[in-house]
Amino acid sequence: MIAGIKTLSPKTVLRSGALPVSISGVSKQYGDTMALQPLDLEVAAGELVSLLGPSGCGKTTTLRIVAGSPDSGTIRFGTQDVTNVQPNRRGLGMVFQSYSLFPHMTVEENVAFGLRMRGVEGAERSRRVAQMLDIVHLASFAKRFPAQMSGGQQQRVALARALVTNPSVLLLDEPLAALDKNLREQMQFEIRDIQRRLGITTLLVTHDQEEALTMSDRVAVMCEGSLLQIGTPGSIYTRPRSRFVSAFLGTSNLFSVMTLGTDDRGRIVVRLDASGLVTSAVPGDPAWTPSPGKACVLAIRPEKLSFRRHEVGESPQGMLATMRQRVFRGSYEVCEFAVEGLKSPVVAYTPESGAGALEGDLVDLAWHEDNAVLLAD
Amino acid sequence: MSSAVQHTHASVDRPGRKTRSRRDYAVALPVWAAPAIAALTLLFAVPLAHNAWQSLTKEEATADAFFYYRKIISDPYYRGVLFETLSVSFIVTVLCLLLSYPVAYYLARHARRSRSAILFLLVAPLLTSVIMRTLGIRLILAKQGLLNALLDTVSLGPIPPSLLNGPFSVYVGIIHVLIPFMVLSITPVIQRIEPAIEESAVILGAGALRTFWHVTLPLSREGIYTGCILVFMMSNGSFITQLMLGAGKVVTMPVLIFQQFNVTQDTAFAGAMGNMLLIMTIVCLAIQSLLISRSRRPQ
Repeated sequence: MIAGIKTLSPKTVLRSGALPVSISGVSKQYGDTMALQPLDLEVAAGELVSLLGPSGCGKTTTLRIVAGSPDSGTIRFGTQDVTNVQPNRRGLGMVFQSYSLFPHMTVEENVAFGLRMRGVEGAERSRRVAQMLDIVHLASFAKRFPAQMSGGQQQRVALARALVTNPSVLLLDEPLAALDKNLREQMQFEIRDIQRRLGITTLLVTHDQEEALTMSDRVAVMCEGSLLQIGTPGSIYTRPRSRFVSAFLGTSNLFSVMTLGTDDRGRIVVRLDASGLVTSAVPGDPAWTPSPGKACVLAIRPEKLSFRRHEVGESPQGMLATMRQRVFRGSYEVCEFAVEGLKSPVVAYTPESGAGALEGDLVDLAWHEDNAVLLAD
Repeated sequence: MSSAVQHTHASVDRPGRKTRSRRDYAVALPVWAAPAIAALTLLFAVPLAHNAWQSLTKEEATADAFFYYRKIISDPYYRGVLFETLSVSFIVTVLCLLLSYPVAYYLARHARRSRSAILFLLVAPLLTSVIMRTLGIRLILAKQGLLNALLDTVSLGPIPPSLLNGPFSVYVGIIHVLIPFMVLSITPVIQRIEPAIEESAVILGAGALRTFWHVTLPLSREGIYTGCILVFMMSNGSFITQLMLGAGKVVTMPVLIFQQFNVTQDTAFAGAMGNMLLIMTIVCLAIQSLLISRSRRPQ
């Protein structure tokens, strides 16, 4: 045990207020299946970290452990070890996908519940409930019952109910999954805004990559019970360390390549199997330097690919491809190309409708070498 | 262009008629209910009316229509029986609820593999006649029955017959018969409470007890009301248990009706008592629907 860390008895009530959360060596097993491999995760005070991954990846298990107990490892809020503290004494706020509002209580009573359980009485309680309903824009709905409200409103009540006690940690379990697309996007910004204003340490579980990128300070990508990569949305998106992370967050064009060596700027020189093109790429994992002659995968985001029509007689620049389709998507266009030697088509997003190429044209595909990420297969 | 073509098709598909009524899809005809209605009229409504008529016109009611009803309410003996009926039913209902709720909760929340076994044990007794089961209890509670034999083997003295034969056995008997109805009324209601709702309460700072008191119990109200009214009404109408286990010490309304019909053959008075019971039952049902509609109001 680290010096200065107090182990609390299960009866101690934690002081509320934003605290850093530290999860170390935490694991969980259900029957014979290992739901969670020993996992370490640090969340700074006031930070919003999202746990992102497909269903069954252990993200919900991780969240539930913060409100429950792991098979091994420790959970700390600030300097306090809460591993053995009962969930009702951890000072948590939680929002579920199903809202889980108390159907027999009005909005006001729902929000007041946590304060009631903490012994906050009378005027102080009403004041804090009213203030919180104001923050979530539901002041005029105080006397309604949950069943009389829309999904978005119910979710805001759930958020208010979780926040009114000024929790040390806020847990959001797929909070927006039950809402329709437009409302979901609006609520992403709204929750983000409230979370920032109140400065509450937050863990968000989601399977929606867009939601994770929009709302988080940092994203933790999980798969099969272990944490694959954690970082800012930007760094995870542009420098995925593995093929799984690259594919899970957005679309990537993947090319099989053979490593040749390193260039003068420390990048890896590779040769594309399909076209024989020799180019450089940055390794997804900065600590990784593959030895020459190794089969790897090159990942390039569709929006990082540019193209122009290939003029007859011109020597090829970049990768030679045939344009198959152009699809208008409003703010951008999706172009699909066939490259000789590649089974799956190459996809590029382009903001302008120009670039002079039509369906059936031969084009030169190009990209900046810093945007090409090399991944171990 | 193509959408215009589709529109034309759509209107061709539904010639003339704008909306289809439920009748178009009905498999059964209202006429099919006739045998059931006839049977109910003949075997239930007619005897009921006959009963009511007799209780208001025959014997001593010829001069004073409400003679028997007044007698039930004003005569101390019959008033006592009425009170006894209600108090037995009340105690049975409360004990049934206390014994059944934990079973219902376990069944709804925790039972996995044992679930079907428990359900079978609950329903199986209903396949046997109440008389057989009451007889069984009588054997268990007899002076030299199973209970006393068991107590004897652990060197505890026998329970005196005065306790075995009388109110105690009657309560055991009625509760035994009615518990399945209480459990089966409450279980589905608890099952409908989303576990995340209770989990929310815990995370918001409520311990197990307060979560139960503030969340689980209020949300299972509907099942409790239904179960209680059901058990109360069935207990109100039971008399076999009182006859077989009561040793004449527990006289409730149905026991008296049974005696009036079979022993004294005073059908007018028996009819009046039957109608009193019926009125009590209707009042119970009214209370139930009132309570349930109130607990449903937020939805």
